[in-house]
Amino acid sequence: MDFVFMIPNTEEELKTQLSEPGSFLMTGGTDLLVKVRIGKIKPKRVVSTIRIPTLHFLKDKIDEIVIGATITYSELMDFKPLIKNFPLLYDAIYTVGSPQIRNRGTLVGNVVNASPAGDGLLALYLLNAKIEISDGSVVPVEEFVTGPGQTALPSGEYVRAIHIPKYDWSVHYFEKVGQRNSMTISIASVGWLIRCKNRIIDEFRIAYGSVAPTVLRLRDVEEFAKGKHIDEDFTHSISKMVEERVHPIDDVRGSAKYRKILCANLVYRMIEEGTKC
Amino acid sequence: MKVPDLGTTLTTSTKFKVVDTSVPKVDGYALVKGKTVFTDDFNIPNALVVKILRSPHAHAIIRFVDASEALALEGVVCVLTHKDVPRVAYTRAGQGYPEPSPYDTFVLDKKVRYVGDAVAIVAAETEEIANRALKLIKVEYEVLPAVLDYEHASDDGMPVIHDEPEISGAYDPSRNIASHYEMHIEDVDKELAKCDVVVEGTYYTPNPSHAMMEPHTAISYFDPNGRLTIISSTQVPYHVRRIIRHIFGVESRVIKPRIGGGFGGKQAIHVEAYVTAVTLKTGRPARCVYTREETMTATNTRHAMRFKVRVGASKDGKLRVIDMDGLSNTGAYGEHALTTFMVAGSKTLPLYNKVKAVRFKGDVVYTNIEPAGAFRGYGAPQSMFALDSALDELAYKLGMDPIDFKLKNSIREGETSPVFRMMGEGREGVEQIIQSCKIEECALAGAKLFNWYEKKKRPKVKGTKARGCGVAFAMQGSSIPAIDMGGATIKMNDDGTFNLMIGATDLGTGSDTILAQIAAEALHTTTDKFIVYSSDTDVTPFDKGAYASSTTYVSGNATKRAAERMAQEILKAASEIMDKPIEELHLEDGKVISESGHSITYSEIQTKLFYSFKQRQLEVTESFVSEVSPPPYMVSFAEVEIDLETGKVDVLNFLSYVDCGTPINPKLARGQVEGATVQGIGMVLYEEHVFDKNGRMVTNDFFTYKIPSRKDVKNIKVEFAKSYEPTGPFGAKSVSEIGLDTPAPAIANAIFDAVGIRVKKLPIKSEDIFFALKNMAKSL
Ligand SMILES: Cc1cc2nc3c(=O)[nH]c(=O)nc-3n(C[C@H](O)[C@H](O)[C@H](O)COP(=O)(O)OP(=O)(O)OC[C@H]3O[C@@H](n4cnc5c(N)ncnc54)[C@H](O)[C@@H]3O)c2cc1C
Repeated sequence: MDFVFMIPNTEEELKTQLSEPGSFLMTGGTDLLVKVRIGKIKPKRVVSTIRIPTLHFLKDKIDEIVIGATITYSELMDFKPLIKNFPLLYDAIYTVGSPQIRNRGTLVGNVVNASPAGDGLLALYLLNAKIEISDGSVVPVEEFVTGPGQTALPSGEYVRAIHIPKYDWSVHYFEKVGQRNSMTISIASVGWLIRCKNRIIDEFRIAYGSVAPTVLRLRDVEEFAKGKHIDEDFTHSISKMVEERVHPIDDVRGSAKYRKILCANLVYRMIEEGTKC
Repeated sequence: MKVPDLGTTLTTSTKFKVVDTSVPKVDGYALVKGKTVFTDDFNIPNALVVKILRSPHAHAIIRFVDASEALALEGVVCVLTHKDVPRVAYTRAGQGYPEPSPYDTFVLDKKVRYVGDAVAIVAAETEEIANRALKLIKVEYEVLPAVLDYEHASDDGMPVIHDEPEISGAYDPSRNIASHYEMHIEDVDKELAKCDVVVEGTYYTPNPSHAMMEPHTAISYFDPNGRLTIISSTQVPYHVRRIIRHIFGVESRVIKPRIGGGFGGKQAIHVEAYVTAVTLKTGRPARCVYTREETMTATNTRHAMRFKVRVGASKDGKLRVIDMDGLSNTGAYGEHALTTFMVAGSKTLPLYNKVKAVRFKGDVVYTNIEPAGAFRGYGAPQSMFALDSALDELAYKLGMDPIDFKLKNSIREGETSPVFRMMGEGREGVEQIIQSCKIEECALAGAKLFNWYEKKKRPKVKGTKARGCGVAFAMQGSSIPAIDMGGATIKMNDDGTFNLMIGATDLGTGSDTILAQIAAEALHTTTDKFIVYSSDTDVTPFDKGAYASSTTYVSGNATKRAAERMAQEILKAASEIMDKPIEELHLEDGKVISESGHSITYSEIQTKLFYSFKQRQLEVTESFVSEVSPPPYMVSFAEVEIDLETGKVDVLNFLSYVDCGTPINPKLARGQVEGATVQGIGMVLYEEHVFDKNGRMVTNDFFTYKIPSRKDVKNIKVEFAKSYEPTGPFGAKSVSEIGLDTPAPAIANAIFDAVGIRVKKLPIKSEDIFFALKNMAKSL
């Protein structure tokens, strides 16, 4: 488990130190160090981003917020514009780990870790977030994540920030179902955003976690929902569509069968939750 | 029945000065400040790091071991295999001697019996080298078919796990049966035929891990005079010393510093034999700290049990029959096999002493998984889940409130049960008449506090959530009567303090504190005047160790006796110094006071005795062994909420009403019950070990093995009934294990109340509830 640990002070230094083969980036380390410890990855060198001032920022712009790479969950939760504009993201990161994990963990780490169970990631999928990479490119999160634990991040590059466009939603919902109430890996998680008037849907987004190789946005369900009236019939049809589209596996957390029906069932929360428009 | 003669110690006074107050723990500050208190904190220079090579196979014969490459590695000092350690059969169980557990274990054997079984001991200069050496050892195994399903362990044609000729004390190793027990009172079948209502069911409880914070750790070294010394995170230092002598033929001193939790997991010898083997071989100090993975996979778990239960009653609510047919899984080795199974009966059945016919029987079987061992509750939580659930169902079928039904049939003060005499631990028990039992108060005051009757009347379902309430009754014991012995030594100092030296092993429970309280009460002084030292086999008197809910009762009585004799010694010395008859003297606030109003402090007395007057050191040692094991009693109430769309269960409220006699330290007693409740919630809802098809435990860390977190524990309440046990120290009984007996049945009964589903298998997973709900909806 021997590796060199480096803490650069500028992005230039970071870039140089990262160019060495066998180097791994670390921000909070709450994913990376777990993987190092169980021997899943064997870094030669670990480069920390946390002392670089230019990566530690939060910007509240007219049409978006921008979250710097080293902003922790705790810092983000204290950032007033987040709760105001993105209550869904707030709800999602509120469930991440424990206070200790939220004091260290970052949204960027969650994105690059690219786990289908990533809670922050699920919210970012729903919010059409974009990932700003150090080569200057800005990529939609859904294109950035290419598979379980895989991203389109070019080697030698790093993530600088996350951009989340502002948009008005009438209803937001996030839920993580686990056997235990905290520090749990979810059996399944779900989130949705609804823009509606008099219970008629104008715009709808829905995504699931832990039930496919990556977080799953159900575009055709979203299309189907447009113009529909939120009622029992509607939730019933969506529920059916969901059941056909999620592909969970059997594992320690639950059987595939249970998780599939669970996903379909979670849609019914909409009846109670979706009356707010 | 003979009430033990405690002479002047029998007092029914409940006006205490020190006892029944929540003084802070004597070791609290050191613990929270992170002082060097645990075994691994001891810095023994030059110690070798010991690591264990473990079997990847569930059942295999070791053909040969080639350690040459490992030994060639710079820094590797020795690699020991079964050829290098004495071939002496023993049991890991830390129990009274001779142990009722089979001798079926060797430090290292030619055969491995579960994934994780020890194959070789490596000692190296550093941890890193030791870990590298592990990988360089080549082992050739002849892999044997394994027994992984305990329900089929003794089927015809199953591989024999213990075929070694040296095994002794096992019931029928050729059929993988480690132990067998059966008893009956009257004829259950005849009595069942007379019952109006009969309930039958098969209940399963799993094999959770203790999940104590501090992993198993031991250090061994020769002191300057060549005496082998072992520092160990053990609950049973005296048993460790005895077993080490049995295996290696060496005398040793065993020191137990602070312990980071045990829950029974350290009532066995695990690491001590490995470090001793290395120190004896190399002459050097040796240290072994188990990893979390080793603690999970290669120590002990609870015994998984299956109980087929039949209970029957007449229409008037009189319980007539309890018939329990059990099967217990002891895993690869039989530590605590027979005794946990017997306790499953002896600490549950006497609660319902009005019953006519009782039968309790079954086998404890070997399988090729991690051995089971002692775990808080020691079999009783497993069987109480089965028995209380069945009685709840019976009450339901009778149309009775379960509280009424259970109260109607349970034991009271002045009564007895034939089970006390029939079932002991590994042998017959002792007769006893119950002198303190406030179960009625626990049930009725508890029901009131919990709003039981109002809550039962509420509609169950609201929206997508259903709520329900359950109640469970329990008893336990206080020590193993006529076997467990504990001693205490009190020495007076010239500054007015006392050294209290006890073999009793505080493993985080706070026993050092409550024993100081007992001594302070008897000596009319305060707890801060006691310097408590536990436990060191070369310094402190013998104590059986921390298990069987015995420390408060047995070590507490020993401490009380010692303190009372010390009081006599002080009075005698004061009488000589003050030249007054003893009858005119009494103790008060650390002084001896005469009727004429003269006084002398303890400090002045001992100073005089040191330097100027009839010179001597005041010191006394007393011991205690009980003839009875007075049970604490408890009634718990659970309220659960079930999410009908996901099957998830939340425990909203959990109230335990406890009769533990006088709680010596109410805060610590409450902590015991709260902790046990949380551990119980874990056992009921979350904790499950998953094994792959080769018998490897998949859930070997806290990422995959989930114990309850703070957020899973909503509202836990603990109340104490006013109770006084005449044979206990200042009226105390035990409180450490009983709290684990009720969560499973109380929660399961609450789930039934909420949604009408009888869960008979733990842990209760959301998924199982979910599909049961679906099936119910279908059949409607
Ligand atoms: C006990 C525990 C509980 C947890 N609970 C949850 C939970 O409930 N929900 C959840 O979603 N997650 C959970 N996690 C996982 C983890 O905390 C989150 O994924 C967190 O967001 C990771 O952030 P980090 O800053 O610690 O990432 P790190 O561990 O530092 O990094 C994660 C990955 O991102 C890479 N990386 C880091 N910074 C950059 C950068 N600037 N540019 C490019 N790549 C980078 C690293 O190389 C690594 O591959 C838990 C973890 C633990 C240990």
